[in-house]
This record gives sequence, structure tokens and C-alpha cells, in this order.
Amino acid sequence: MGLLEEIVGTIMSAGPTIMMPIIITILGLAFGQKPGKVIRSAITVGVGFIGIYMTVDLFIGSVGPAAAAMVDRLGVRLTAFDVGWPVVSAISWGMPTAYPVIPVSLAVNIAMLLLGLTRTLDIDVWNYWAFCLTAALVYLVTGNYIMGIVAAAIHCILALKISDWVAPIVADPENFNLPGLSFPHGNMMLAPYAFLIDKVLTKIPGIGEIKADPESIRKRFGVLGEPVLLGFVLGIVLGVIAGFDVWGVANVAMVSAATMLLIPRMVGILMEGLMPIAEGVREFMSKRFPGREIIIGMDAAIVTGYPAVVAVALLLVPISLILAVIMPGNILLPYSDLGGLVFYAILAVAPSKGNIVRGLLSGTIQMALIIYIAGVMSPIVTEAARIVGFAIPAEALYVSSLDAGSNTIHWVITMLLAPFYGKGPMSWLYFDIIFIIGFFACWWFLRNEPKRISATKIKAKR
Amino acid sequence: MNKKHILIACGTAVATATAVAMKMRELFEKEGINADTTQCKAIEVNYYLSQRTPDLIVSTTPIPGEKINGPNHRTINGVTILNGIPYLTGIGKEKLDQEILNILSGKH
Repeated sequence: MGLLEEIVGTIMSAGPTIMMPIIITILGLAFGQKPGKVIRSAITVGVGFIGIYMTVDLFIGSVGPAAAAMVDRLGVRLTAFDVGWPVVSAISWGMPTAYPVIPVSLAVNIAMLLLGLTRTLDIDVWNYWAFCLTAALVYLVTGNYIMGIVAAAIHCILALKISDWVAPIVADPENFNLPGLSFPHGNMMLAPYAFLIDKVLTKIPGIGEIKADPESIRKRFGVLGEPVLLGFVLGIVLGVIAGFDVWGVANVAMVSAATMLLIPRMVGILMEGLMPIAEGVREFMSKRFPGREIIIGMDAAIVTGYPAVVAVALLLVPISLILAVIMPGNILLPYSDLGGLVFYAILAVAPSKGNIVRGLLSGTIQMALIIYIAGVMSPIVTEAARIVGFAIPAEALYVSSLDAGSNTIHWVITMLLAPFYGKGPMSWLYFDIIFIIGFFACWWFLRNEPKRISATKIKAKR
Repeated sequence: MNKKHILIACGTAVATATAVAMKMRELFEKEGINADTTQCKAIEVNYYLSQRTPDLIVSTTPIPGEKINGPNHRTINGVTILNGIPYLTGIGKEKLDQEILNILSGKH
């Protein structure tokens, strides 16, 4: 263990702007990419990190004080600030736990395919960052590097299983019409509950009958989907509530608009640098599993443009803010991820094949859990952010992301372990156990639900 | 040939759009095509079109407000939308390459 601790310590002190390029070079060459290409992409990853540091510092430096002033002034306890999933993805790649996760996840996937335990081949290497985040959080809670990597492997296994399960929904022409594809994300783990919620909603008379047109919702609320405008509006609201003067409000609004656009762009640069490895992995895997009856694991981003998903996501923006204020015990202020609620709307609308009213009710229930848990996870996410080198002032707020609440596997594993390491109260453990029992119960009782829903055509029924 | 402009849309403008953009840049380099790409969220496309008209849109997800004129033929404001998913899976990549080249050279 002594040597491992030493290596981890060295990587941590070097920081991701230096370590990531080195690791990318090694991995890129290992997957048979050309040296010139590998070096260029390795440097690009470092550049991406530097860009992310700059923009996040700007964001926290300007918008953070407004959030803090709002907390003081209103006496609301929203002390955890949502910095958005792009920042958290960068934190995950930057933690020393990230490096073994790519090969370990690949090995897990190959083993499961060979043993017939999954049909999903996850070629979406970019989103391995979620596995990396589980590893990072578990490492921080337990102080045990190996346990972190094991947790990432568990995340990978569960993500593949849920991908198999929801695949019929993804393939259904009345839903997303993408046969042969699915989404091996931890965020999909809310699916058993989502199907249960929708099943209950169908039992309530009248609810399924209400029709809402996704297109007119988009036309009215579409502004909330544009990062610059959303950032600007949120900045004004925050600045005004914080009691800033006109110029102060204007400054917060502009920085908020800027960072809402710029931070994801910087993460795009990071992603660009990771592409050759992602390509290498895809080619490596496709060659080994050609012509098999497999489901290709993809980024759920490819279904975020469906009209019902967009409509529900837009309506969830104001609902999420209201939920955050009125939910007792919640400490998270949803902010940056409000521009990305389409991801959380997928599971809300899929069981009903795009019924807006049922989707909105289901989405609201899911958002309540997501927001609450994202707040609970914020101290640990903040610790990771500091380790990776984000300048979060000691007296400032915690940082978190809605993704930390939406990705069930992160928090289920973290909250299960935390009480045993003095990092959380025993109540986490009880909550977690109830959630897990409910989860597997739903999954078991509804095990045929995605298949059944996809086989039942809405049009043929009438 | 004038410089061509391609808009690439996905759910986040970050992940899948970047993957598609890199594939397209490789194609343009190989074929000697003078073109640039911009990435945005699918939901921003309408706003983008009010500012600038691209020669082609490649998207990995449906675009709100798009018109479906037939199988595999989608447009918005008269701009053709191609499905970028083949660049993510690798399946049907050559066909998509060819479709892009056809549209940019005006053979469509």
C-alpha cells in the first residue's frame, strides 16, 4: 500500500493539467494511436483543464458572492451551489482515481459480454467520467484507493444491466426509435422508480387524458433552453435577491451568461483531447465483438431533442427552483445544470411515451429527490473539487451538481459507506437501505415493463 | 468553392457534438473542403438560424421545430438536417460521409 499511496500523492500534487496529458499519452499509445496525434490530444486535454479552471474561478468569484449574499439576506439555507455537470466531469477526470477506471471498465464490459451477463457494449468512453466520479467519491469517503476502483466497477456493471433493461424503450418507434442503442448511465438507475411512478399515475383517473402540446410549450419557454439567456436571467434574479445595486446585478448577470456558455465549451476542449482514446477503445471493442447481437451503449444526449423531453425539461426549470426553496432540509441551489434538465426529463417521459402531464408530474417527483441528494453530496463533491485544484474559498458555499443526485449509483454507494467512516450520519444508511430495497423490488416487479410498454402500441389500441 | 459552414447540434453541445465535429473535420481535411463547424444545443438551433444560415446541419438528436419531409429527409428553415449518430457508432459512417459531400457540393 505504501507505494500506491506515494504514487497517488505524487499525482495529486502534480495536478490534472500536468498528469492528465501524461496519462492520455500512455493510454493513447497503448490503444495503438499514432504518437503525433496522441501528443496533440494530450496537450489539448491539459488546455481544456486550464480553460475550465479559468472559467470556473470566474464563475465562483462573481456568482458565488451573490449566492452567499442571497443566503444571508433571505435566511434560506441554500448553501450548496450547483456548478453543473461539466465541472464535475472535469473534477472526475482530474482525480487520481480516474486513471485505472478506463481499463477496468473495459475489462468489466468484455467479461460481462463474454459471460452473457449483458448485451450492451459501452463505447461511450467520454461518459466513463461518471464511473470515475464514483471512484473519486468512494476514495474520499473511505481513504481506500482500491475500494474506489471497485466501486467504479460496480457502477459499470449496474449501468450495463440498466442499459439492457431500458433498451426496448430506446428502440420503440413510439418512443425514441433507436434500435440497437441504449444508455449505460448511472443516471438511468432511477428507471425502475420512474416506471413505478408512471404506473401509479395511470391509475389516477383523468391524468392521462390531459393533452399538452410540446411544440407550444417549447415556443413559450424555449428561452430557458438557451444557455446565454438562461444564465443572464438567473444572474439578474440572483443579483436582485442578493440586494446588489444595478451595476452589481448587471455584472452578476453578464458573468453568469458568459460562464453558462464558456464552461461547457472548455469541457468540449477536454473532450476533444480525449477523443483519440475514445476512438481507439471503440475500434478495439468493435473488432472483438463483430456481428454479435449487441446493444451499443451511447450518450443519452442523443434523445434529448425529442419534443416531449424538451417540453418537460423547460417546465422543470422553474419547478426545480421552487422545489429547492420549499423543500425542508434542502441545501442545494440549482443553477448551472438547469440548462441541462433534458437529461432528467428522459426517464420522466419515456414510460408514458411522451405524455407531457404524466411526464411533468413524474419529473417533478424525480427532481425533488435529485435536488435533495445533490445537496447532501455537496461536502464530498466540494472536497474533490479542492483536491483537483479549484479555488473554492473556505468560507464560501459548497459546490455540487444536479448530476451528483441524478446519478443514483454515486450516492447510493457513497451514503452506504460514509456512516462507517464518520463522514455522515447513520440516517444516511437507513435511507439508503430503504432506497435500495425499493429499487430492486421495483425492478423485479416491473422487470417486463419496458418490453410490455414498447410492445403495446398506443395507436393500435385506439 | 465558397467556405461552407456546418452547424452541429446535440443535447449538450459538448460531448456527442464534439465527436461529430472531429469526424467532419477529418473528412474535410481528407477531401480538401474549405468548411468550418459550430456546435450548439439542439434547442438553440432556432435561435442560431435567426442569426446565420448554415449550409448544413448535422445533429445527433431531433431538433425542436424540424420538418420531417420523408424518411431520412429532415429540414428546418430549408436547411437539410443529417443524422450524426453514424459518427458515434461507426456504423454507416461512409454513407454519411458521402451524403455530406453531396450536399456541400450541391449534388443533392
